[in-house]
Amino acid sequence: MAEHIIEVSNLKKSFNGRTLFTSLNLKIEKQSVTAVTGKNGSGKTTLIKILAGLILPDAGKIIVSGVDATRRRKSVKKMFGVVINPELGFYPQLSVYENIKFISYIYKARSSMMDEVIEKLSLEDFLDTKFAVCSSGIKHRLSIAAAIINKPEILLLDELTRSIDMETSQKIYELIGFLNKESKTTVFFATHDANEVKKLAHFHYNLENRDINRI
Amino acid sequence: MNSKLLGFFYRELCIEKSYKINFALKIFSLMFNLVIFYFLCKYISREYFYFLFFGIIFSRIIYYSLLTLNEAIRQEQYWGTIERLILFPGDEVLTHIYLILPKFLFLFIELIAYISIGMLLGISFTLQKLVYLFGFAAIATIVFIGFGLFLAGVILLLKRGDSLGWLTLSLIDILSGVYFPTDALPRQLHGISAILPTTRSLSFFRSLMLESKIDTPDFLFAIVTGILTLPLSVVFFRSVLKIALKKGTLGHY
Repeated sequence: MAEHIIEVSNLKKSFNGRTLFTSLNLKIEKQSVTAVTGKNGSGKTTLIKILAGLILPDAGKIIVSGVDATRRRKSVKKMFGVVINPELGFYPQLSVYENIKFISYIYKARSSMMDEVIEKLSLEDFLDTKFAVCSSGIKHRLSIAAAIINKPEILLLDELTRSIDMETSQKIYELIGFLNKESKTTVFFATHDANEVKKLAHFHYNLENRDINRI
Repeated sequence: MNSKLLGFFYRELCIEKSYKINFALKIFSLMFNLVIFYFLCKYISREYFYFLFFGIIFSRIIYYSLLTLNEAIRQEQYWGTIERLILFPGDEVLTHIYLILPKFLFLFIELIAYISIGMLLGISFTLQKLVYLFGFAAIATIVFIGFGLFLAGVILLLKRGDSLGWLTLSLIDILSGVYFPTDALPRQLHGISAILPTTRSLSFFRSLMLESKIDTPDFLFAIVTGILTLPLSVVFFRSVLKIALKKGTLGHY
C-alpha cells in the first residue's frame, strides 16, 4: 500500500467572500511527482501556499509525515523546499552568491552542499550578478537552488517554467527528475502546461469547481 | 553563534555594503542636527545643550527599539522577501527578532559618533560614563523591544502605518521630555507623561549621565513594564502574523 507524505482533509478556504475550496481532500504519495492543474483563479497557488504554510486554511487538516501541520507547522518546516514566484523572494541588491550564502546559513547547509547546488543549477557564471539584474531563467534556477539547499523531503513548485526558455525548462525538468529518483524527493507542482505534466508527473490532479479531482 | 543569526548578520552586511555611503550620510545628517542644536543653545544655555544632547541620544535608542522591526518588515514586504522569512525553519517571531538584531550594530556605531561629536562640542566622557551609556543603551533596547514588537504588529495589521510609527515616536519624544523638561508640558499632559516608562527611563539616563547618579526606582519602573510587555507583545505579534497568513496579506504593504 502506498505511503502518503501529505494528507489533506476537508480543506476550506475563502478570500473576501469568494470560496476557493469547500472541502478539498488530497493525498500525495511519498517519493512521487504530482502535478496540479486548473484554470486561472482555481486556487493552484493558494493550495501550494497552504501546503507551504504561507496561507492558513479556514478549516481542515494537513498531515505531513504523520504530523498535524495545521497545528505544528514549526516541526515540519524543514521538510519543505518551496518555489513560488521566482521573480521575488531574494534580496535585489545582493548577488546570486550572497543570496545563496544567506540561505545556506539559515539552513546550516555545508559549503560543499552550496557548491553542489550551484553546480547542479549551472549558476557558476552568475555568482557575482545582482539578483535585480538577473534574467528570469537565472532567477528560476536560483529559487530552485534555495529550495533544495536543505535537501528537503518535499518540493513544492508553483508555475516553475513560466516565462523561461525551453533549454532552461529542460534543465529544470531533468533536475526535478533527478531529485525525485536519486534523492527520493516528493515533488508537488502547479502548472498550466500539459506537456510538463506528461513529462514529469506520476499523478495528475485538476482543480475545478472548488474541488480537486484525479485525472 | 547560532547559524541563523549569523545568516542575518551576513545579509545585513551585504545590504549595507551595496549602499556604501548611505549609513555615513545618515550619521552625517544626525551630527549636523546636533551642531545646529549646539549653536542654538549658545543663545540659551550650555546646560540646556547637555540636557538636549542626552535627550537626543535617548531618542535614538528608543527609535531603534520601537521602529526597527516595523521598518524591517516594510522593507521585506517591498523586496518581496517576507514570505521567505516565514518559510525559514524555527519560530516566526524569533526569525523576526533575528532579522533586527544585526541592525543594532548601527545603533552602536551611532552612539560612538554621538560621543565623538559630543566630545568635540565640549562634553566630557569619563570611562565610567561610557560604561554607563553603553550599559544603559543595551538594557533599554531590551526593555523597549517588546513595545517595538507590539507597534510592528499594529502596523502589520493597519498597513501603510509608517506615519503611525513616527507619530508614536514623536509623541514619546515630546511627552518623555527629550527636547524640554516635562514640567513645560500643559498640565493636562503631566499625568500621561508621568506614567510613560520612557519618561522615567530618560530621567534615569539624564541623572546617570549628567550627575553620575543612579536613580534606580525610575529605571526599575521601565524594566518591570518592559518585562511585562514583552510576552504580551510576542502573543500579539504572533496573532497578527496568523491573521495576515489567514488573509494571505503578509506581503501586502
